[in-house]
Amino acid sequence: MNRLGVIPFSAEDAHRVFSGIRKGTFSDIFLQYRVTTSVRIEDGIVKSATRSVSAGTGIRIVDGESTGYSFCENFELDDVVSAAGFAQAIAASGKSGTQGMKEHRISAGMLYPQKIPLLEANVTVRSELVRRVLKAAESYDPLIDRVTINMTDTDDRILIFNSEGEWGEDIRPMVTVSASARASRDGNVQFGRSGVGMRMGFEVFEQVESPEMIGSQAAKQAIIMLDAKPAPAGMMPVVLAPGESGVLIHESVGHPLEADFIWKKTSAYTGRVGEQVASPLCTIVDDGTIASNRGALGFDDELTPTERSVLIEKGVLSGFMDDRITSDVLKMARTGNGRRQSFQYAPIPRMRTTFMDNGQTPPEEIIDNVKKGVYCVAFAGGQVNIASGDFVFVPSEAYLIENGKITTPIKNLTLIGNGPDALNRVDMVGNDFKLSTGTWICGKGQTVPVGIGLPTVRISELTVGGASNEE
Amino acid sequence: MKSKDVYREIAAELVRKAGSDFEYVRVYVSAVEDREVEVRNGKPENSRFSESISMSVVASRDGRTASASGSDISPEGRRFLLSSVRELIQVVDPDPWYVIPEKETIGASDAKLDLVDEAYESQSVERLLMEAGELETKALAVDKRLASTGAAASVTKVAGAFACSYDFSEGFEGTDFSLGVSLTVDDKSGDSANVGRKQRNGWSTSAIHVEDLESSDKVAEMAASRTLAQIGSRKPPTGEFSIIFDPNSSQSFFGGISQALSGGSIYRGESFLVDSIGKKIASQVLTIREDPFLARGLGSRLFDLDGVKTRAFPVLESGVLQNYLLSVYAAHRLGMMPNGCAGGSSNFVVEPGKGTVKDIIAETSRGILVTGLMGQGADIRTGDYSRGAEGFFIENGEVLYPVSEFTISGTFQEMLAGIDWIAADARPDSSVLAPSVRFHRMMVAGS
Repeated sequence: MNRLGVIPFSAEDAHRVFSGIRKGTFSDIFLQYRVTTSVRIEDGIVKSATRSVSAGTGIRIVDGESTGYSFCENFELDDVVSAAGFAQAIAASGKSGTQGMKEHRISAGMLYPQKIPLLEANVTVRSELVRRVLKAAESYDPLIDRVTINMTDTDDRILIFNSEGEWGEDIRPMVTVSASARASRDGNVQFGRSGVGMRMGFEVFEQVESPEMIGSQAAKQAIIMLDAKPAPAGMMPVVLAPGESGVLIHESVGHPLEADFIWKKTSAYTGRVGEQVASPLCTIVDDGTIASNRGALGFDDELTPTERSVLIEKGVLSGFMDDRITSDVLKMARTGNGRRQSFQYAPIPRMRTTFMDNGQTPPEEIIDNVKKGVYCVAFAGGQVNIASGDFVFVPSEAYLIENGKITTPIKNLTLIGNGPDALNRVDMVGNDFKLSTGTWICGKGQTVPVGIGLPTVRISELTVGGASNEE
Repeated sequence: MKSKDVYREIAAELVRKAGSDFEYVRVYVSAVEDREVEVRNGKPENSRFSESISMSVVASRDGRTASASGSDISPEGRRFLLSSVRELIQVVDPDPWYVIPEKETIGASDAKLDLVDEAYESQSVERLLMEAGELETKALAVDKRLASTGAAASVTKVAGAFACSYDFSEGFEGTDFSLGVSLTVDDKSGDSANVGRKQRNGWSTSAIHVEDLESSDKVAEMAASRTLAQIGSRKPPTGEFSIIFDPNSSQSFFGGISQALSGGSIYRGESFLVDSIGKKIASQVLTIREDPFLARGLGSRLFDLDGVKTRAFPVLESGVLQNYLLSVYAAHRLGMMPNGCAGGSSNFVVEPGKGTVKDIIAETSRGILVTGLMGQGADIRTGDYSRGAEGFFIENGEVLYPVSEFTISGTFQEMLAGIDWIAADARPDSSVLAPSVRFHRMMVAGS
């Protein structure tokens, strides 16, 4: 038994599994016990409450560049041993070097302490919190006629052993609240959304954002959108507000710098380390060590301690985000980006908290310098084509900039650009860096929570895809 | 993995156990067994063997509903689910629209769906590796500029059961096979800062029965030709053009329509199609039906997530909306009858028109064929539609050049009304059966 309490699997058990494996050069065992509780508000009442438990053991056997994976949905030694049998199906040769390895514990540190622990809080604590969000949203404006709130909290317990004698355990909390508000006026219906997602206990509502703020922000956005005009179409300057706009960095340059796309030579950045790939104003970082952030991890899902990885420094490509396998085949230092959705999946290179570092220019000056353009504040998401570098990001709150002033809200637009082109067109970077506290989830075959951030940034020219053809 | 009858027993027993504490209980058990492999440059890169199970219980009393789920189906695991539900239901408010289904609606429809292919058992990891390897070799042989980012093959088997307080329980099972390859080709473009630009594309096929898969020759040929055709792509001009969706893009568009018609979106007021029954919401040429009984259909089923018997019915007739897709709860809120669509449409079938995408291109004077879409800019709540796209620029019935890095914008409402051609080339490998379509005009933002 270990400090996690709920995963009865010992180092001796792990050793027995490893010593039964006849093939492969490396293997690891990933044990997980995850309890998720959700409460939903709809129609002004607590409509439903749900709990789910996900528990199981994943086993991976690596043979050079090949990976075999299997899992069982318990912690029984016999079942883990038989999963290991399936996992070694594609391994051709080799033998894990386990015998006689000294046990070495990898510490997860204390990046996400919980002052009000999720598992100890009564369900009533949750229902009271969401009611406060509801009240704030409903009372914001009489035009708000519908509010939906979801709160989900997760207590995720991880225990990992590998065939090199390393082991580690971690408790990873996550609280996610999102509010959606609908505003209606004369048949015009618009929606606003806000949310908070952090690796914390329920103290998140005292330390990061109050339930009242979450509710009123969703309502405020819906009311703003009632006055929104169709967005313009064509190439123009785009200014990104600090924080949420980090979705641009995540899509345009984050994904293409994940080492599996470099290894497979899919990424447009393959073989370009040391080259100028962005404007000298751009320093891009992926950081797993920001306390309580959505992307924080003491060690990644294969026991590599996380770090602050500089990907692009003053426009020059300096490194990639890797996991164990890609670090070995590409002969790069381990960055601690090996992540998995759950014990059901093998780890792959993923982002943690990805951002553009602070600049020098006051944000007002940046907007002052735009004659006609678009100002983006909040986002529904984004997507990238790794190979061509084309990416989109989709604003949910945006405005026109006319003669240096932020003016009319606009709706129904997607921005599209090409990663390397767009980053070369970054011509002003603000001194107002901000991390988003939003509920970001990244999907790459598997979903994981991530963090994003950015100061105010101007891109001199980007395609704005609105439906209006007025000049 | 156990048989559906074993899961049926387990589900029914849990309903009985919960019975005395709640007015109405339903239990859903679903087990999935999966073998998948990936090959790159002739070498096995990943293999995965998995067997997982999920069991959920939804229980209600006095108008309150709570649920719990987990993978532990042992007696202890089942006790934990019930104790979670008992704890959670205390904080839930009574719902004024609470309803339990009418007894007559519960049951399994009588139809032969043919959803299991016994060939599943013979698809070993070794065999899948061989098939993926062959596919990759064939695709790379098409043109020496092509590189592989991986060929994948997989087989999945599902078995499960539903049980509810009306002493009804029923099992279900199915298989799924898939095969695909993804390719890249270098494509450095003239004045771009993107000196490492590549084009990436691919093709895949999936089916309930292995014999219904497209041949590996066809998959290889499609993957290679789609990738090569994109070389030299550039932005189209900004302006209004006819827009053609190929079957893959069309699937995503009609998938959005199906969501907008789901009872949950409608009663929440989160759909541009609220209060639209009997109204003309689309062009005359568009007819859509819900068909849960397609033999070997990817969405085919005999009952829905509420345990309600499924049935086939018209959704849209010549542009006029006939029915929403309703669960028990959504139907009750809207004053309608449930129609077997808890969990969404089964098979959403767009009535085929004539010809293929090639025929549409030949009859288009100026427009863009869209072969790929990006981003979340399709909002079924308001109808706003603005998405990133790639494809081909068409003039006088001919493909002129590949295009990318542009957006198409409009609204779902305008797009539905503006459909002026529906082809007959839907792919059977989705539960949304949608052929190529042409929209009369949409705004394009490019250069």
